[in-house]
Amino acid sequence: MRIYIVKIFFLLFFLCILARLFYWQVVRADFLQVRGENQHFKDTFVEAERGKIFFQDGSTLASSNPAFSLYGLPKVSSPEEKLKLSYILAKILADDSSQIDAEAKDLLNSLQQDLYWVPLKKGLEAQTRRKIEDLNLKGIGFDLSNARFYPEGSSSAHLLGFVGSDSKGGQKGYFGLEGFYEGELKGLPGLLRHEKDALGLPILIGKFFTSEAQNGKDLMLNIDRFIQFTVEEALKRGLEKYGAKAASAVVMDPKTGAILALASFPNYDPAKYFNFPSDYYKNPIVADTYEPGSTFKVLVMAAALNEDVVTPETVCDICGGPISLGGFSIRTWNNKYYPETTLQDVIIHSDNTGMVFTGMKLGLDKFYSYLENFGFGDPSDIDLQDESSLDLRPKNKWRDIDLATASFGQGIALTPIQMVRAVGALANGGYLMEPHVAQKIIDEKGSFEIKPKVIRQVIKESTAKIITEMMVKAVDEGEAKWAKPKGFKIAGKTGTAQIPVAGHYDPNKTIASFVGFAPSDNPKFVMLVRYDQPSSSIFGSETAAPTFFEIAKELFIYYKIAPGE
Amino acid sequence: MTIIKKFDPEQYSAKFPKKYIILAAVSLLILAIAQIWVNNTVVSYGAKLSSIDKLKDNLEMENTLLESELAARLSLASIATESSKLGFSKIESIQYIR
Repeated sequence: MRIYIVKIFFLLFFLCILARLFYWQVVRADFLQVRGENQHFKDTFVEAERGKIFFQDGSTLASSNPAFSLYGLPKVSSPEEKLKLSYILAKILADDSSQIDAEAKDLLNSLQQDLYWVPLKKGLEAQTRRKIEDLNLKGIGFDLSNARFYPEGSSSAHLLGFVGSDSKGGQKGYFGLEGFYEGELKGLPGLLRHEKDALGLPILIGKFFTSEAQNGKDLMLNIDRFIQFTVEEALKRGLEKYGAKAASAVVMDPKTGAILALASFPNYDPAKYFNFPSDYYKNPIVADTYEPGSTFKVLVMAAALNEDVVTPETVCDICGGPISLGGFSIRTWNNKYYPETTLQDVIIHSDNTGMVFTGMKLGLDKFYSYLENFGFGDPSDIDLQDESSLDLRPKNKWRDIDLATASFGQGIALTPIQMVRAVGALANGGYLMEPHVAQKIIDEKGSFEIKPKVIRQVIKESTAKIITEMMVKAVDEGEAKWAKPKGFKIAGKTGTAQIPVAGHYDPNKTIASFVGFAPSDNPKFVMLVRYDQPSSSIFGSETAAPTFFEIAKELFIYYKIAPGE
Repeated sequence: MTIIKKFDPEQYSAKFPKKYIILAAVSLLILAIAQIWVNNTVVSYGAKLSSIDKLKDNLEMENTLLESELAARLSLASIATESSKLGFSKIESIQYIR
C-alpha cells in the first residue's frame, strides 16, 4: 500500500514537472525566445541622414550636423552623486553663469525620478559632448541624432521652413521646402542587429542582420545665391529706410517659372525657430493675400487689348473727372484728370477712371474669365508647403462697382506669387507658367529634374508685345522715372493699394508695390517688390520702385546686360 | 579412407581498414582544435571592430562638421563681411565699352 502511495506521488510529481515544462516550452516559448534574443542580440537603429538642400550653383543652403541627446540613468547613482553630477553638468550646459543654479535644479529633478532612463538635454553639439565625456562621469550617456544646419543663417528662412519634432519625437519638416518635400528629404532609418557577448561587444563569427538606412534625397534649387542675397540686402535696407512693417520680394524667370529669389521680412532663424513668434513662420509671398492696387492695371489692360476692345490709342471719354457709379465716386490717386486721354497715358498716369473705362469695355464676363485664366482664385502650385489662395467671389455676386474697383486692383485679393506669375505671362509672350523653387531631386541612383510647366496661354504674343511697350513707357514717363536705371528698358508698374480696415479703406495705410520685368525685349527676370505700410511715403513709386530698380541694377551687372539706349 | 576436406572457400571478410578511421579521427581532432583556436582568436576582434566602428563614426562626424564650417565660411553674408574688412566695396559706376 505504501509503495502504491509513493508511486502515485512520483507520478503526480512527474505530471507537474511535465505540465510546467509544457508551460515554459510551448505556452511561453515566444516570450522566452524574445528574452533570449535580447540577451544575445544588440539592435542599433541607424538614423537616416536628412537630405541636403543646395542653391543652383551647388552651394549648401541646408544640411545636417550630428547632435547629441544627453540622458541620465537614475538607478546607477546615489543621491549625493546625483547632486554633484547635476552641478558639474550645469556648469557646461548653462548658457551663462547666472543660469547654472537653475540648470542644476532642472537636471537634479530629472535624475531624482524613479526611472531607469531620463532625458536630460537635447541638441548638444559635438564639442559639448566631448567636454562632458572627458570628465568620465557615471550615470549618463549620449544618443546620437542629427540637427539641421543652415550655413546662410536666417537667409531664405521663408523658403526653407524649419525642421521640428513630430508627435513621436522624430524629425519633421514644417513650412516651405522642408515641409513640402518632407517625404523626399527624411529618408528611411536602418537597423543593424548582431550577436553580442557578455560585455556587449559584437561577436564577429555570430549572426549579423543589416537593413541599411536610406538617406534622404537632396534638393537642388532654382534659387540663385547671389540674387537671393541681393534681394535680402535690398529689402533689409528698404525696410529700415521706408519704415515699413514688412517687406517681401520674389524674382522669377518668366520663361520657365523658376523662382530665382524669394525673401520676406520680418523673418526668423530656422535653426532656432522656437525663439520667434509663430506668426513669422508663414511665408507672406505664398500665404498672404493683399489688394494689388495699380499693379493690377497691366493685367486688365492686357485682357482688353487681347479681346481687341481697346488699343493703346483708344481715347477715354469718361476720364474728365470723377466717375459716379452705384452711389460711389471713383477718383484718381492724385485727383488729376486728363480728358480725352489715351489708354497708353492711362497706364503712365495710373489713372483709375481710365481703368474703369477699360473694365467697362471688357465687360464682366470677359473680365472674370481673364481673372481665372491668369490664375487668380487658384493656388499657383508652387512647391512650398504653406501656400493659400482666396476663391474668387462668384460672378453672379459682382456688381458694377465691383467690376469698376477691380479694374484698378482694389476689392480683389491675391497672393504675391499669383501676381508675379500673371505678370510673367506678359513677359514671356502670354504663357502662364507654374512656379517652381526646386530644380532637381537627387538620390544615389541619379536625379529627377522638375521640368518647366506651361499651364495655358492667356494672351496672344502680339498682345504681350503691346502691353510690354505700354509698361516700358509707364516706367520711362511715370511717377517712378526718377529712380529708373538709365539706358535699360524695364517694363513695370507701380502700385499703391489702400488697406481695408473694418469695412473701409484706411487712407494712411497702404501696400506699396512695384512689379516688372527686364530687359523688356528678352526678359531675364520678373520681380515683385512689396512694402507693407511704409511710413516715410505711402506710394509705391517712392518706396517699392526704387528698391526694384536697385535690385535690377545688380541683376543687369550679374547677367552682364549692357544698357541698350 | 581419405578424408577429403570439404572445399569451403574462405569467406572474404571485408574489414574496414583501421587507417581510415584513425585518419578521420585525427582530422576531426585537428578541426576541433582549429575551431577552438579560431574562436579564441576571433572573440577579441569584437572589441577591435567596436573601436574601429567608433573611430569611423568619429571621423565621419568630424568630416560633417568641417563641411558645415566650410559652408558657413563660404556663405555670401560671411564673404561680404570679410571682403569689406579687406577693403572691397560695391561697384559705384560701370564704364561700358563698345
